[in-house]
Amino acid sequence: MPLAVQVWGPGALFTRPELKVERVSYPVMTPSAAVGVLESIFWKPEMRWRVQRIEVLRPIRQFTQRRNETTDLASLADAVSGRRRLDTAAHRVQRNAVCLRDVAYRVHAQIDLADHADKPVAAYRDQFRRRVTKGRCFTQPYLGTREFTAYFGEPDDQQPLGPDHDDDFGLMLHSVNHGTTPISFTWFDARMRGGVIEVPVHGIPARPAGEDAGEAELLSMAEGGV
Amino acid sequence: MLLQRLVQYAETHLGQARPFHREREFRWRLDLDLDGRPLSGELAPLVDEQRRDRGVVLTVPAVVRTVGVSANLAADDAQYVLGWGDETTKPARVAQCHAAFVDLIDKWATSDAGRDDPVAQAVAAFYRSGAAADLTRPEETTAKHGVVIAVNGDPACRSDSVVQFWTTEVTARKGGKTGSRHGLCLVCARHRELVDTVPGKVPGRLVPGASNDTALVSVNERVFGYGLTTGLEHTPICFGCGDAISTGLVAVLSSPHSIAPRGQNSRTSWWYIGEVDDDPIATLDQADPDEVTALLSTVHTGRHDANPPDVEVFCSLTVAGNIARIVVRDWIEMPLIELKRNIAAWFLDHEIAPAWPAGRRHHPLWKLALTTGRWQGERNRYAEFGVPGEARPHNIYPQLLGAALRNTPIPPAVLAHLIGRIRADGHLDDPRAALLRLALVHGKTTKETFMPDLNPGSADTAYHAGRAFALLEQIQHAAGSGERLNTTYGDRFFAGAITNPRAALVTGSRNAKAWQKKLRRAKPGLANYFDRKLDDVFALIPEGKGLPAAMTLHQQAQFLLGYHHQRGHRATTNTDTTAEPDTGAPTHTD
Repeated sequence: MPLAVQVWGPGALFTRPELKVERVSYPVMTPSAAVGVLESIFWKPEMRWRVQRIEVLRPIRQFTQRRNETTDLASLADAVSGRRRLDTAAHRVQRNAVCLRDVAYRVHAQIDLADHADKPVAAYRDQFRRRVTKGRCFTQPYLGTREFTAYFGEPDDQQPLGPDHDDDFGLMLHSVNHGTTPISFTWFDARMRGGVIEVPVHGIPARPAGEDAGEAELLSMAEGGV
Repeated sequence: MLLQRLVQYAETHLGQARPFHREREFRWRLDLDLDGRPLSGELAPLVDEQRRDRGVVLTVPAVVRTVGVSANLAADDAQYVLGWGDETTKPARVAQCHAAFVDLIDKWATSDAGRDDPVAQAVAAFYRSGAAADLTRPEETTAKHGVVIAVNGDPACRSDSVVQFWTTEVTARKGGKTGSRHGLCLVCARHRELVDTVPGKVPGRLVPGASNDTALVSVNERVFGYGLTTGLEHTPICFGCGDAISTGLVAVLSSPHSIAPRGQNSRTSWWYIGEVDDDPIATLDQADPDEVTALLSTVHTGRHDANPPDVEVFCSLTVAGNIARIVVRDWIEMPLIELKRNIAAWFLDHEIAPAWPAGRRHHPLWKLALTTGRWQGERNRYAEFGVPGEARPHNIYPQLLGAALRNTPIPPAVLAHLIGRIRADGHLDDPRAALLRLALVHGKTTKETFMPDLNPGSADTAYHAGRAFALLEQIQHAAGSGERLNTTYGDRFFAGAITNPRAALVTGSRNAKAWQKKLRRAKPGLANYFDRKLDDVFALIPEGKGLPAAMTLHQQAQFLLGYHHQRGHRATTNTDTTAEPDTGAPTHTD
């Protein structure tokens, strides 16, 4: 049985990479956002979260907001150097966002242990369950962006959206790999069936290791089971 | 799925369009023969037959250029094609532009594709011969006038070798500083050559609020990109899809299925996927009575449900401009049958009894949006969209359209604004009453019933107060026998009665005695009718505590609905010839 946690909140913004300047949200939570929520509840260097399934519990509804932001942002290196000064007022930019309203998801995930893990996986699973029961987290989880706080708790009996809500969302972000330079992403063909999105184990890499990898093979890889 | 749908639109509606080609206007044509010699010493003017002051629009090879020098192939500005500047240009830059154009022609003529193409050779020979300097320049030419080169009468850019050469050229230009990348395209899910910036822009005139030509997918600031990067490094899109996104978007926004009322801050375009004969959005925006009846009967007879599931899909895109970026305000993709159900619900929810028998029970969406603006009594019409002092919310049209398409509630701010306008204008007509009912009912789950026609059984006191106010107004009008009053009862008390009807009703009841006395002398039957009606309505308003001192927005809307229903009821049921239309304010003009 995979671990499950229910998350909900009044708003969410899972930004699509193709429409990320004037932001438009994916209609549902992405696996990478789900990993973010899980890691803020419980994480150890010896483990890695693998999202298996996301159940959409409330109808997909949108709202838009427009706000002032800045284009003057210090990189980490600039910030560390301590010499960079920001001029927010001179770099004002107005950006629009199409967000999601009143969302709730049930995330099913597994824990994959690293080689140096010194406890059985059951120990980590129990720790996670205890933390969810008590509502404890390392940092407050959020739904896509920090403005949209995520509340979480134990899964209940709420049913996902029915078969009337089948939908195809196109290629969706599967995971972000910070170990490469520059960072790289993997993708998967996101489909919702009966309000449930099955997440494959591996996403389609942006650049396959072998250029001769067939397209059909890649697609079937992303559509494959968990 | 927006980008996928745009690419799909481009493929199905535009057919095999030439890649990286755009439409642009040309004022002049340079005619050459196959040896590259000009046919005459001057340019041939190109004039649109419909609009004599404009040039001819041609589809030519073109890519986006912003501030840099970047030549297009065989058809471009006069400063590129012939090196002709004007007072707005700098000579050094014009020379640079012309040199880039000549280099591109040379590159074309020596490429694999153009080496055996006589058209490419002819154009290259023209520039090598130096004949360009001998051409006579027409006085009216500016640096930005479009000039197309023609060989043997046909535009050189239509030559067979252009597509192959131009695709290679654009790929090299748009692949970024490090050359094009190979990777997974987000749109077509294939591993292809990826763009660094999307080729092609959407003309600013198609995007309300844009101050420049615009792009839908663009990461031109560090903070916009993942990990403080610019370009589409982390938004992988291939050349084919990138081009199709731009052409598809331009085609969608410039199609007849597009609405952008002046002064409103967005443009909504829509299209259907699958075999669709009718256009429910046209029904929504025109409210033709026959079409509305047909739509309602189609949805409610369950004919669609009896058949296999519908495969037709409705897509709607609402965009606005933010300088040179396109803002997606709304994106809807839903089964067509769901759209029809939502539009049917819209018509059912705003159906309203007309003030006069010839009036309409359903109203076009644009008319509902129009009625939120200022009523110009002296001109007997509403202020147009976008005119100064229209007093209309700048996003009312997309708000109403979104509520209609999605079957969601009308924002409360719309109701507050509408009631404010009715008070200020002293004007309530059929479309405004329809919008009032819509704001109370649409997309809401409520046990309260709001009937399209007069509802004597309503439990709402404010509703009956509105009815009483209408009756008192009618009594005064009937007693006056058509004589014109400087200020009627309605003129004096309507605005105040909407928020607090007590004072108006007390004063009206007192004055009604005198009006009835006068009316009874001329038309005793009508006076008796009003007596009975007034008694019936006042009986439904409990004495003393029945009406609050200050009514809520909901009660104000109920008051206005009761007022409108009572007026319409009289107009449609009383056949007494003396019951002429009211002439005092509030007016009834539809």
